[in-house]
Amino acid sequence: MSWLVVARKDFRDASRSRLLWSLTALFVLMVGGLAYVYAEVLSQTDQISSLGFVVFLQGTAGLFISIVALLVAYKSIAGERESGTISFLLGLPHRRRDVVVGKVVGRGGVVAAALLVGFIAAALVLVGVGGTFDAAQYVLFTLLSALYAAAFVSIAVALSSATASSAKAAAGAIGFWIFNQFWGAAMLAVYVVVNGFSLPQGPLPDWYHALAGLGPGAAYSNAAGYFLPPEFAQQVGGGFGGLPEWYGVVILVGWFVVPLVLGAARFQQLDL
Amino acid sequence: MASATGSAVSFDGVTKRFGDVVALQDLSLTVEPGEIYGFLGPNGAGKSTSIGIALDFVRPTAGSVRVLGHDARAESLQVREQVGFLSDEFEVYDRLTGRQHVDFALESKGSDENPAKLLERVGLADAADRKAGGYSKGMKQRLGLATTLVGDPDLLVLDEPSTGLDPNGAREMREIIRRENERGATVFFSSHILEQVEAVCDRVGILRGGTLVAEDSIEGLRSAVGGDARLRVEVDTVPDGVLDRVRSVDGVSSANIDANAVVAVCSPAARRAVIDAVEETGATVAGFETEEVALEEVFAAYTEDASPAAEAPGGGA
Repeated sequence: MSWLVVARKDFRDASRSRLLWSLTALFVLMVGGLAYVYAEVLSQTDQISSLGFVVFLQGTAGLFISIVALLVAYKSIAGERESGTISFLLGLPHRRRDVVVGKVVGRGGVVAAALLVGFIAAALVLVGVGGTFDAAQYVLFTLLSALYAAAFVSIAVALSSATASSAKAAAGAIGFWIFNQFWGAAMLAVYVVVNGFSLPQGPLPDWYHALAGLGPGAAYSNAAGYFLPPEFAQQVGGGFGGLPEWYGVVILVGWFVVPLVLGAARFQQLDL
Repeated sequence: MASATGSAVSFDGVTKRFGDVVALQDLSLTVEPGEIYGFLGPNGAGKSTSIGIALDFVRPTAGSVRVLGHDARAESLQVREQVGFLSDEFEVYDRLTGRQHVDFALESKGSDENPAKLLERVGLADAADRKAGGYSKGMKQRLGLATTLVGDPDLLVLDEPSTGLDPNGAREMREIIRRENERGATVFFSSHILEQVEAVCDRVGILRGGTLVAEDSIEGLRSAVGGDARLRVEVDTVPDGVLDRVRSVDGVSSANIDANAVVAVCSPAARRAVIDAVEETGATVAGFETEEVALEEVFAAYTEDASPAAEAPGGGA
């Protein structure tokens, strides 16, 4: 269980970072604040429900989680190579893949802890103002958000393991974040080109949804649609066309597993 | 298992290239169990690369290394379970305390030693619960040493262990090395400072430009150049024939003219005779001073070509 030793050390180290505490505070304020705003806006109409809030929250949470996860993890390995602590870490009997896995688990744990605190705060606000609270759905959405965060941590650690420069790791993380933000738009542009430079009339074809759904952000939305009742699914942008309902979940799991495996394999080959 | 196949560390024809740069060229050397082996060389000679290969941080282009009977690449985990390693790049996790560093090493090696005892051995007991980021360079180095002692390793690999230590700290480091050796540990340590190696090592290998240029006991090394110091004799004028006269003095290994001074590399016992010899040739001695022989001069004794190999790819003159 060498990776667990690495993960524990990493969690201990990262959880003493001021940046992390600021991010957690910010996350709690944001999610709690959104819950409050949501409750205020709807307080007259008696429509407050945790499901409605999830729909309200999903887009913002997705944006915020992606930034926090990349920020917490981009230096995880490159930073150790830059400072020289890697020689201490790998001078001890740890396999390199255990270092990569331990980093993903350790940093993932840090992000998950911040996320959990934020979601609990929001739940308290929602319960406090009354309305319906579907605990099972809320827990599912929290877990899904944790998977989404884990995917970004995995990506950031994989990028970080490929370079000895924190600056390059940061550039990689920013590049990936931009890719995630604009992937859907890029696919739409591809569609427009393929469609003879004209905007779509009627529903978009399945191949567009399949391609656009490959981005982790889109996969998060699709997966949320899978777990939520259909009327909410449309609102978070999930459940399109002829795609299988699980598509988003599988893609999201892929964004967690594939970078981890590739990152570990690549890291194994490097001269440090 | 360790001594069944003999050596503690053996490099066998190891070559390492980084792109066009040859860091190591066909390096073969053997460290015997129980000895203290000093790995000497100037910065950039390839010491850290060699050590990195032994610990699987760096992969050789050709050749192989065995450590404590294990292949350094295929069985790196077993190697690192039995080795205490202190890198020349050792750095602490700023936000973790000294004790947490030792705890991490203990957990990593599955050892249940008392971290306080280990920190005490390196003189860090009082700073154990302070964040290591606030330690001085010397304290960080001691902390690094404490982590290498975890689990009573069969082999200590120390890369420039005296970096950042004051003379007192360097002496304590040597004492710990000796004590570990008496316990039965083999010690392989590198330095670019001759006197540190000289003080503790049974055998010394000198690396230069990625090649082992000498391997000898301290006595063997000293008889060639060691022990000698450079004596600089300032004179009013440099008389003809002074160099021949000085070179003929017993205990002088070399002599040169440097501006208005005669510079002789000689044993301490020969200093008086050198000054006398200079005066006998008719010069007035204005003053003299001695300085330790730099490592470069030790190398000069082992290599005919004074220019670094890396800068003279054509070889020749």
